[in-house]
Amino acid sequence: MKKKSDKANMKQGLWEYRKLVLKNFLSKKLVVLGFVITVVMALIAIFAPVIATYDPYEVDVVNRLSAPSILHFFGTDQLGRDIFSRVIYGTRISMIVGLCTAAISFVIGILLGLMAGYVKVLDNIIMRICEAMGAIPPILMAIALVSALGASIQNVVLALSIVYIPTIARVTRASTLSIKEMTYIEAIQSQGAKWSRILFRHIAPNILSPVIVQTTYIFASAIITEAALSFLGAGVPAPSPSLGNILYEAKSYIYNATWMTVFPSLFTVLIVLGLNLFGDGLRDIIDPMSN
Amino acid sequence: MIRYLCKRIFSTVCTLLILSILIFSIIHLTPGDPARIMLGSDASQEEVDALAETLGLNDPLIKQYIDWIGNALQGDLGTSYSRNGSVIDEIQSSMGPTVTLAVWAQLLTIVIALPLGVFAAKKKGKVQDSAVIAFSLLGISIPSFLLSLLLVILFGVRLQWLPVAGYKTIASSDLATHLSYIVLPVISLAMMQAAMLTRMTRASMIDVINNDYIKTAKAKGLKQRVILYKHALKHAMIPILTTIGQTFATLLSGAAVVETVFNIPGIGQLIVNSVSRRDYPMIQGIVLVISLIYIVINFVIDIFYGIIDPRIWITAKSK
Repeated sequence: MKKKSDKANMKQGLWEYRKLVLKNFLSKKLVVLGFVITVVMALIAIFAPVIATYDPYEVDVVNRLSAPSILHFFGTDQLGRDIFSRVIYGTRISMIVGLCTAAISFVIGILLGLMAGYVKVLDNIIMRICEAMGAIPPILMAIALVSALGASIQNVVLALSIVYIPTIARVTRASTLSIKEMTYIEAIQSQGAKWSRILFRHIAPNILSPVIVQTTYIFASAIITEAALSFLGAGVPAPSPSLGNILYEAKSYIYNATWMTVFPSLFTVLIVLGLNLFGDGLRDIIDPMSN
Repeated sequence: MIRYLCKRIFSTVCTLLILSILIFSIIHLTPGDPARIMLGSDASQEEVDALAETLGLNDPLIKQYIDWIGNALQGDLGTSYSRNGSVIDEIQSSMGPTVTLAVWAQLLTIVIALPLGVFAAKKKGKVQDSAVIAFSLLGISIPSFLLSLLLVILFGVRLQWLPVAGYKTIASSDLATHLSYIVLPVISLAMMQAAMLTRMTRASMIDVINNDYIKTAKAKGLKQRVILYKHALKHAMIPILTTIGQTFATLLSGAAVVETVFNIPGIGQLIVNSVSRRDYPMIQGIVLVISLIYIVINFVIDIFYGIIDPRIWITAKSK
C-alpha cells in the first residue's frame, strides 16, 4: 500500500506480529474465562446441597425480607427463605434445564438435519416445518407448549427442546449439503457403501463442530428462555427455585428488597455470559475466518 | 422478477399452512381433556361437557382444524374463555402498547447498532473494536426482562427519575410523558437486539471491506465516510436486514415479557392472564398473530432484497 523503508517495514511487521499474538492470547483468555465460569456454575449446580447454607424451602417467618448479612449472604425473601440457598438451587435447576435442552435438541436436531441434507424428499418436508416453527418466537412457543403440557420441569425441558431442535437441524442440514458434494463421499458412494454408513460414519463426524458451537449458544438461550418463562409464572412451578421464578417473586418486593432481584440476576447473567464466551471461543477456534 | 415473487408467495403460503397446523396442534398436546384442564378439578362434568361442546372439542380433529382455520381466515380467532370477549378484539386492544414498545426498540436498536458495527469494522483489531465486542458480549448475555428489573431498581427506586409502572399514550398526554414511561422498557428491550445487530453489522462489514471495489474506491481518493456508509454498508445490508426482520417478532414477544415488569397493559399481561387461566383460544390467537407478523415482515424483506440486489431475482430464475 504505502512505500516504506525496509526498517520501517520490519518495525511494522514486528508490531503486527505482536498485536496478533496479543489478540490471540486475549481471545484465548476470554475462552478460558468463559470455560472457568461455566465449570464453576456446573460445580455449583452439582454440589448445591453442600454449598447451600439453608434448606431452600425452609420458611422462617420471623426473618422475612431481611437484608443480606452474615447469616443470610443474599438476604431472605417474603417467606423468610434464604435467598443464597435458593439461588444456588435455582442455578442447579436452570443448568439442568439448559443442559437437557441442549442435549435433546442436539441429538434430535442432528438426526433431522442429516436426513434433510442427505435425502432430498425429506428435505422439503423437514425444512418447511422448521421454517414454520422458526416463525414463532421462542418464548411464545415455550409458553404455549408448557401451558398445554402442564407446568413441570420435565415439560419445560420438552418445550424448550421442541423450540430449539429446528436451529440445530438447520445448521446440520447446511453442513451436510456442503459435505455431501465432496469427492471423498462420492468415492465411498461409488464403492457401494450403505447410506447409513455414509451418513453416520463419514458425514456426521465432519459436521459436528459447527453444530457443537450452536449447541453452546442453545444452552445459553435455553437458560434465558427458561428464566423468562418462569418469570412470567409459566415455567418451573413454585416452590422449586429456579432463577426465573425467584425473580418472579422478587418483582413484588422490588422497592423494599432489592437483594431479592439483584443476586439471582447476577447469577443468570454470569451463567449466560460464561456460555456465550465459551461458544465464541469455540467458534473462533473452529472457524478462524469468522472473526 | 414475477417468477421470484411467485416463488416467495408460494413458499410463504406453505409456511403459513404448516404454522397454522402447528399452532392448532398445540392445544391437542394436552394430556387428557382440554376442557377439564381449562375448568380445573372443581368444575362439574356438565360444565366440562358444555365447554367442550362450545370449543368444538367433540368434533373430529380434521373438522376442528378446518373450522378453526376457516374462521381465522375471516378474522375470527374464537371466543376468549376467560374474558368472554372475542379473541381478536382482545388482542387488538392490547396490541397498541406492545407494538409501540417494539417499534421504538427497533429504532433504538438500529440507531445504536449500525454506527457501532461500522465503527468496529473500521477499527478492526484495535482497542475500540475490542470495546465494542465487549459491549455486545455483555449485551447478549443480559436478558431484557432482567435488564428492565435492574433499570427499575436504579432509576425508579434509587434515583427516582422515571416512572416505573404504567403506560401513557401520546394521545392521552404529551410526547414527553409518553417517552418518560417507555424509555426504560425500550432500553431494556433494545439492548440485547442492539448487541446482536452490532455483531452482525461488524462481521458483515468486515467481509465487504476486504473486497476489491472498496480498495478501488479508496484508491480513487473517496472520503472514508462515503466509502463506509455508501459503498460498503449497502452491500453489507442483506444479512443486516435479515437480522432486523427477525428481531421485530422477537422484540414483540420480548416486549410482552418486559411489559409485565412495568405493568404496561399490553400483550404480555394478556398472555400471563391467559396462561394462569388456561385460556387456550387466547394463547393460540396471540401466537398466531405474532407469528403472522413475523412471516409478513420477512416476506416484505425478501422482496426488498431483490430491490437492493437485483441479482437475487436472476438467480431465483435459474434455480
